[in-house]
Amino acid sequence: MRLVTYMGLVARRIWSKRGILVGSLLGATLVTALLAIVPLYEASVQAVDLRFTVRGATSDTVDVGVFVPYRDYIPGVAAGNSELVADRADALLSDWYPERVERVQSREVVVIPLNFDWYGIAELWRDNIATAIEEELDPEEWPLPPYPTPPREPTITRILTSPDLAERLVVLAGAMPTAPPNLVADPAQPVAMALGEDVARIMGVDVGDQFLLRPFSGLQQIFELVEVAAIVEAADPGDKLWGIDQPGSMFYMTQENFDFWTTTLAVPAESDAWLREARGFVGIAATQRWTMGFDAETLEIEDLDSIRASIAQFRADVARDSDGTLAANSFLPQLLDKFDVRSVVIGAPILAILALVVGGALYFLIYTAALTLEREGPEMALLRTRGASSWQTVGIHLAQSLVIAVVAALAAPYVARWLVGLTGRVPPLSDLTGGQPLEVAQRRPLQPFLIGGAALTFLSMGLAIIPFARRRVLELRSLAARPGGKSVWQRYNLDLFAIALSLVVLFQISQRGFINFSGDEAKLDPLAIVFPVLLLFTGSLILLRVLPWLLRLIGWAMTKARSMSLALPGWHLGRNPIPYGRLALLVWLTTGLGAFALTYANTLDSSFTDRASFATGSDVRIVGEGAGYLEAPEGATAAAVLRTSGAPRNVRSRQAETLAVRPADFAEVVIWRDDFGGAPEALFASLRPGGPPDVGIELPALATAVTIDGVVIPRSWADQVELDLEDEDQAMRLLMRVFDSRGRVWTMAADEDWVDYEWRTATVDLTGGLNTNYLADPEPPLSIHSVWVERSGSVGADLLIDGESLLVRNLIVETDTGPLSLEDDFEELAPTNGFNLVDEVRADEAVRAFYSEVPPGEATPTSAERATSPLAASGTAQLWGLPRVRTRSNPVPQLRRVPDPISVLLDGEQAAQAGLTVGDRGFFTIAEDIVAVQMVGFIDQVPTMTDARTTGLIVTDLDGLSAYINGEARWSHRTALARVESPGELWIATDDTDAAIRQINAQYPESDAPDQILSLKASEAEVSSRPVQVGLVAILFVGAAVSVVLALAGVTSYVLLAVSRRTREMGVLRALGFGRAGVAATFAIEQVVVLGLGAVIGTIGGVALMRGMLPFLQLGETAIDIQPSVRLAVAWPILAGYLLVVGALLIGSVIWATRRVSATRMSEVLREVER
Amino acid sequence: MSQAIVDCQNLIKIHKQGNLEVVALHGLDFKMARGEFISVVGKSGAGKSTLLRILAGLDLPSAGKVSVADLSLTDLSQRDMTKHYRRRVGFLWQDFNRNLLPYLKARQNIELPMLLAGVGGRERKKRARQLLEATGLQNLAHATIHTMSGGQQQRLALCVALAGEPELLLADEPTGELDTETSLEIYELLRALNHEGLSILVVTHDVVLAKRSDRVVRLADGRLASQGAGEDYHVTVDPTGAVALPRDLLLAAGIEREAAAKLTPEGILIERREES
Repeated sequence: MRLVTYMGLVARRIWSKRGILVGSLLGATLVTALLAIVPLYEASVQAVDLRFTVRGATSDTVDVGVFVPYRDYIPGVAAGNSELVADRADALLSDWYPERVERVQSREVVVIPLNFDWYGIAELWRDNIATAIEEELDPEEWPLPPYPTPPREPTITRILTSPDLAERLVVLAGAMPTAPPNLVADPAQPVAMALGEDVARIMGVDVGDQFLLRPFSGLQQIFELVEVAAIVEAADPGDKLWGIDQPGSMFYMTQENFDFWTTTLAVPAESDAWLREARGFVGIAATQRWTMGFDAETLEIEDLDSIRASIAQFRADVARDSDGTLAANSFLPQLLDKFDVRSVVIGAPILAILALVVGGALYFLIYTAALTLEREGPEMALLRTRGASSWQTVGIHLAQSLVIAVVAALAAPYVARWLVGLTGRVPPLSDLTGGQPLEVAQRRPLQPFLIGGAALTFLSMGLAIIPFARRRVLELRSLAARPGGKSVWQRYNLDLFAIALSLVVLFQISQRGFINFSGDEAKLDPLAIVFPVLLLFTGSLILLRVLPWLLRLIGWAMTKARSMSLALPGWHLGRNPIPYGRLALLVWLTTGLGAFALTYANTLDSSFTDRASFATGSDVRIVGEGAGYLEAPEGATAAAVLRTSGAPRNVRSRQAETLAVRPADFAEVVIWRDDFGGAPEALFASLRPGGPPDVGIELPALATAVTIDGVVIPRSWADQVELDLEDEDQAMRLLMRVFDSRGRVWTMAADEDWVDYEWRTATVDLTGGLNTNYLADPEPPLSIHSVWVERSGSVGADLLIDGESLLVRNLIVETDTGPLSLEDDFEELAPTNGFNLVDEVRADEAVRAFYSEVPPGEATPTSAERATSPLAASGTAQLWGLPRVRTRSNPVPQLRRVPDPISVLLDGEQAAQAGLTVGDRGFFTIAEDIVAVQMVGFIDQVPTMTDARTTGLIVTDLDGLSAYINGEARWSHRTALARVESPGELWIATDDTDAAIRQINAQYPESDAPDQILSLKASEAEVSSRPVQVGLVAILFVGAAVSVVLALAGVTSYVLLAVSRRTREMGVLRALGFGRAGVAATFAIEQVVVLGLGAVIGTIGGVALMRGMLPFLQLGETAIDIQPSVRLAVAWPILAGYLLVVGALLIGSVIWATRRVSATRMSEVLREVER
Repeated sequence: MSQAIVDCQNLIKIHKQGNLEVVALHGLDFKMARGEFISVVGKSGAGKSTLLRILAGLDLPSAGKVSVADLSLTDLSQRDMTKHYRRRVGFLWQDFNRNLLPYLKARQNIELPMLLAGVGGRERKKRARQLLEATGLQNLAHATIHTMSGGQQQRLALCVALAGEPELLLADEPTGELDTETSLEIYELLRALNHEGLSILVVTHDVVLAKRSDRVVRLADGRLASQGAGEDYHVTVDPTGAVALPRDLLLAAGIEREAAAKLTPEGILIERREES
């Protein structure tokens, strides 16, 4: 009874203080609801993510497939297996796999057309057999039956059946045979089958046509006469029944017919031309397959464990019950495992932020509880003097706290669900939910969170009473009029200890990481969740330490003002700064949370953009063979990029991703971040210290062809006769490697061979090349990089040379304005790889060689004959000598421009591997070619260079590298001599992505397209629309909003209390002649200074907190570090806007609360003064 | 059990306000007999309220001894102090807002101390009814506080103070916020309670009301200035020449309806005059 009375007292207290306690109740509900939101929101966002994940997965990933191969298909066994699968699937999978498709497909069957008279031959054979019997020949001497054999290029197909086949086919002609035939009545009747329309067209058959069919790997005598009963097509070509097969290319039988014809069917031998006693596709190999179609809409987040368990159980059951013959599989569990890892990794910051918001709300609760208790000091004193013991006083408050905590716990689930649902209605989650409330999902029970929330709120409100209850009555009476002094923390320097402890814990967390992996399973370190709260707590303690000093300083400065409205608050702040700690702390928490949320969201957003930029590299990136040579879209800037691999030439080296770029172009298009390695212009310009590389003999812009007179120095006349050489045996073709103005490498061949029986002019047409996929002709000016010759009969891999020598002269380049000599220019080219260049030999060397030995019986030629020989020439010529064997396997002996070492930028790892530093030279293997390099600088990261198989990165000059690796001929021109490492990427900087892509596509021939078109726009959309990321941003804004609401409530309460506490002081001021407005202004200025200080420190703290949280973002959703690293991105304008709004609201609340100052009557004030 | 309900010996109380020390009681020796009704008067800062707080157990002396109902207040534990509040002393503050819980009704306020003391429900109700009847508030048992007048609230506060049947009632300016007529009513009520055996110590500035007590104790600078009969009475003279003399003074002088006034070198002497 007494308890009832007590509770009645508590109820009356609560009711009488409902105004104040509503704040506590709101705070308690908020804390509990926020805790309840943790599982709900996490599960709900995951549910959206899950839906996206499973919807986006291909059906072969999410479906459950069961498979059994039969070497000898037996219908009874297949039916048993079918029953088993149906039974287990219905029991275990039907919730998520409503659709079950079953099919049996034979192994290949071969069509044997009847365009050959197999039956006539068989009849003949039967006659022969009859004769043999009559002649009583030994059966071993009987002729073998002439079983039909397939043609050399037969039609091979498969027979497919399914229990509900007829429903899945559309009959185009004829009728689908359904009932099995009556072989008793007509043992010779053919097998009726339906043919897919494609195979029917290929075979050229129609309904009623017949052919023979035999299993590809069956016995010779197993074949049947088939009649086309129907031509069909798939009712739904996307039906899972067809799997990966083309439904138009198969034969079809109903299940009943298939089972009938795959059974041994006894028939009278005389009814068969080959005297077979049985019919049917006996022993046919087949596969039976069931596909359980997954319905993504049925999978709820709560089902994850059960669906995994069900699939595992299903697999185990069918394997066990079929003695291991049935194999069931699905990749859904693996997909869900990955989803779980991603959920944990991405969920971590959500939980941490929620913990932060809960921490903030909890502080608000303690704050309001303390304020309430201070107001209740006199009442507590009264209770004490009326005989209430300490415990009775505590009990009343604890009961009150308990009531609030219980009410909060009861209301919290609804509030939490409403809030979670609400996030779906507002951006950014509304983009994913279509503006509908977020569907609330639940994976974990709410009760622990509700109990936890209730306990937290109860403790934070209830425990505050204990120190109050121990106070003396007089102290209690003065509480409402005089705020407390230093907190316990500071009084005993516990805060310094706590700060030190927090720092140690923070260090520990930063060392441990926040996610632990055990195999594929990711687990969140619970300590990491409190990480932000710990940071906030530490920050609060530091703030409370330094705030008095700051306020004293500000107060001192204010006292220097002439205005009393400034000086008075200054004195007040300076004299007694400690009580302001609580208000400042509240504002710091509010602005801190807001600044944190906004900075977090901005950093996340900035990271999305960075990641998208890093993945794309520029606004648009085109990938495909020769893409680097595409025309830049109108109004856009483009840069060709060659991506390959390279490594230093030493034993320890590991392959590095290598990018070859044109420095100026690349610097202009690449989306760069200054932490990648400095300003891009200067960085990449260092790749070309001496300007563009000199790739060869630069031809005049108007050059159209190069002509060179040449002759192969023949074998002697006698050798030729002896070897019986034909004219063309010694024909040699001139080839060139030419670079055009766009850096494209062309292999150009002369139009005519040089031969060993006459001088010929070989003309190399400069307007086209061999074996290229370039979309446009060479663009002048051109540069000849290398020149070589090979026997024109060269085919395949071998370059046929055998120590030939040639004489060349009149090296001319034809231009529109006339011919120009190339004699001097060719001297720049160095002979390589055994090529021998002898300048200035006699031009009649070919004649001399031919007549050096005359065949027996032939007359030695006269001088006149020599002079008139087609091999004759006057003057001098260059002698080109080819080696007898090539010195290396690949490179072709040639005249070429030996390139200078190319410049490279290396990351630290590659530089260390190569043992290089800036300025050093060395050798690298790049694109399988040995290249001399000079290191010109360091580079840390380059967008798109994320190949996990490589270590480190190399960036070099495209044209320099191209001259190195493409200038060297390697192969016969008839095959891949033109093997060119062409820049396979085009990076484009544009303002109009869509237009740029359209223009790029237009450059491709019809039915062709680049391999990949990547755009920043698409990448950004992809990255930033992931539900978990979006959910994270949403919760951040919820956090910021909650903090503002709490701050408003808290500041208003504080100011109201402060006003009531200081009525006396205001009365004195009024009595001294201060006007109402002046007193109110004095009071407001004081509060605003504290608010401002709290806001400034809060903003700094919030940003610092975000800095501390960066590791949470650094780990991507696949638990791999995000590239590029996440950088703190403070949105100062948004932050300033937020502070302005919060500032305006808080100042508004201060002014509203201080209205009471000016509204107080003088008489009341004076009475207060008299006390 | 001694006859003295209050015994203060060499009582010293020093208040510390920052670096400043203010001596509120300066070696006070004071005794109060059981059943006595004492008014403590003195200027502001004389130590009246300090004395009352120490006797109430709300504050501890800096030195000296103090006992109430034979119990030394300097040695009491928190628990004993609670018993002290429940059984030995009742309080009545000047500000009646501070005497009552505004969210409880009149009777509930009276029952509260008993509830805290563990008194049974029936007993609580009975005692509350008696107190309400004694103070003439029986019709306001279910009234809320804010509907009651100042005098009614103070009478109710008196009921609350007496709910625990204390041996000593301590009142700090109980009529400070009341008009003269209501103040007199409260004093009459106190006097009546005193006649029933309750010891009462009242701190007041009102000398006229103070004279209605058995003994007036004057404090000055934390010491006892004077006490008992022979003390000067402060009387007021209105512009019409009417002099209001304390009733107990008149009774002591045997003056009932009429008196003779005579001018003497010291002033005006008022003597008993035989009824004609």
